[in-house]
Amino acid sequence: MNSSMSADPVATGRKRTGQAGVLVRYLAGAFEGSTTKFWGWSAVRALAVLGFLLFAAFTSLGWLHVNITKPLKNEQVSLRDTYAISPAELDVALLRRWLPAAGKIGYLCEKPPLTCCETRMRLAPLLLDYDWQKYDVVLVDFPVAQGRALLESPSYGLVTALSEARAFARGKRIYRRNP
Amino acid sequence: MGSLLSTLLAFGIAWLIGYFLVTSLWRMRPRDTADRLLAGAAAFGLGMGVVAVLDFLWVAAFGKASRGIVLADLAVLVLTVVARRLTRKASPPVGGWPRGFGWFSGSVFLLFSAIALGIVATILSRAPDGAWDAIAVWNMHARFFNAGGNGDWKALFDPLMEFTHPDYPPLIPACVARGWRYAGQAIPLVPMTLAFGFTFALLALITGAVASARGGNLGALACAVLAASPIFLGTALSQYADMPLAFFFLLAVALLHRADQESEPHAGLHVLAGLAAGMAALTKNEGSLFMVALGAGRLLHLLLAGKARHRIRNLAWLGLGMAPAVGVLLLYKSFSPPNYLVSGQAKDLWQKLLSWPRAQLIVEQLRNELERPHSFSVGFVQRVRAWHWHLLASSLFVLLFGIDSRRLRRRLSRWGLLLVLLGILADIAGTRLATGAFGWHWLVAMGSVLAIVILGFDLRRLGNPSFLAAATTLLVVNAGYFVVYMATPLDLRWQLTFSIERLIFHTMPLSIFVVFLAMAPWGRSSPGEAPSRP
Repeated sequence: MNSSMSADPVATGRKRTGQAGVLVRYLAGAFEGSTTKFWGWSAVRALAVLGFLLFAAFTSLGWLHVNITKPLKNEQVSLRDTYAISPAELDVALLRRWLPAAGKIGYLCEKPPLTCCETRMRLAPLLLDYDWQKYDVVLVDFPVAQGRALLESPSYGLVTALSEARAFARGKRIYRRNP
Repeated sequence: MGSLLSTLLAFGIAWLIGYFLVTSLWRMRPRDTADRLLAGAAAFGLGMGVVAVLDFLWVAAFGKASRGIVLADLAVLVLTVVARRLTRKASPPVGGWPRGFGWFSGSVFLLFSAIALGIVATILSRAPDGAWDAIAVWNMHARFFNAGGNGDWKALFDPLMEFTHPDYPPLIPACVARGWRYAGQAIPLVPMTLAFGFTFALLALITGAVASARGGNLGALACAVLAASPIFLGTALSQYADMPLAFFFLLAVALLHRADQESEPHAGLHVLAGLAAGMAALTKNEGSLFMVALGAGRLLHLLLAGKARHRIRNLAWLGLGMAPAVGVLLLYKSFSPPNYLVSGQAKDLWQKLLSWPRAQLIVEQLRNELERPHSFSVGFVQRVRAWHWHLLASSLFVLLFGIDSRRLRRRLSRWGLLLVLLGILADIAGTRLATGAFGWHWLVAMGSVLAIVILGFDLRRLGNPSFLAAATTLLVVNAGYFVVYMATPLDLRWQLTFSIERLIFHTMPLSIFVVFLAMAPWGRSSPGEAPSRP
């Protein structure tokens, strides 16, 4: 990578093709490598590395900046229209299967309208907690802030925290994160 | 505070197990920073894999989770320490910054790692539960592995739980469940730490792997290419199993390439590579495809590299490394329902496989995803739907480094004139376009650079059997993904929309590694100056 005019395609006087040819040969010389000891290749490589690193670093720092300064609140959940309370038969069947209590088992799903998958996901941890067998009615309510569903932490914030789940199973409403 | 310390203890013990495992099998001591980075990263991934296997076997054997797993972990730790002492050789490791990994490499690695980890930590702290599959699949499975009742964990395989894909392998859920057991409660900190750990381990791995093959400077640049990628960052914060899977893909190939550089057959590195491939199969179902692809690559290596007896013995060591994980996977699969790709197949399989419109759709979605990512995790990082400028810049940069200057000098004169003229024409045409869209003038500019690279690229560099083996593995995995998409029983467009970005990421670190293997070495002391031994 050391400089040496002897490797200069022009200085070596090999093939000359006029002014355009000289220009091209200088450009070609800029791509020379370590074996030809021409300074141009070192410069091109250094510029390429510097340019790439600056581009990548500033782009990444931009992402870091925007993520530090811009809050995530209400971004990660697509808020949907609310609808009337309705029993979810499928989930009643789910609870009956796992909570073979003789009493009435009900499941009330308030807003937002949950897909079958979402509802099951929230109920799944209940399958592991046999304390639920003590209760006849399981009332599931989802936190609502300013009339809109807030599912910022759907797993850990709702029924999966079993202490909270037990609390609202006794008839209390689930506590609201970020009311 | 107690939960934090317990979580750190869980991860610390896992790393130590991995470290002693790696250093007992990698009998030639890591000689420089590149090898030590590679070994340290391997220790994290393999350590997490070992403790996850241990945790799953405990739950399967005793029917429920217990904090007794801590004692089992400590017992395994002692075993690995003893194994390391028994296999230790007299040659001491070399300290300090060795040749090929200097201040530039170290600075670039640390800078880009710090920025990437800062982004991931910021978003993880605001969305501690990760993205949807982390909640609904991976951490959900962990809750079942963490169940206290006798045999309760098998409730995961109830037909009602089909939505969580209970056939997905258990490595990540078992890691999370083990962390919760150490912490004493199910806290988001554990999966967050796991995601964070694999993020840093993957950055260290790509740096160490490329540095040990092509020198520290290129290793650091490979780290920058990966760390500044929005797909990488988006996958890291989602807490999905795709990050560990990509880690194990790269680890297995990198260890095999490292073994190929040794002058004598190295059983330990082959066993470690086999372990890494096995851990990939225990991480996601795609890992089983990877084991096949890795085997195909090594068979090609066997054919090309000569010394058949040595190579066959190495293949046996590789298989031995895979065996424990395959056994655990089969045990897990004996409980779980079949995967939907198998159970959902109808009689129209061949019709789907030969469908041209399906193939077109896959290619179209791939192009769309590369141009403008649609996944919400990437959107988290960038906050805007943007072109992958990073991809373009990285490609051009990497291509430039692929040039063999001597060869280029011999060929460029007339072609160079043509390319410069084309570039000028493209620029003139580009300025006349009304929008800043990615127009044809950009394609011409890229084509010009590509032509320079083709003219200057020394194809002999691609003839190295070790390189060909790695490239074959990469190609077979991606070909397998294509076939799986063609055959999927689900709606193809839906499946592509929700998975193609993650599948791109699976082989992205491996792609970067393979591309850097083909680049001209940079720096006088690069190990890549001398072509690696087949």
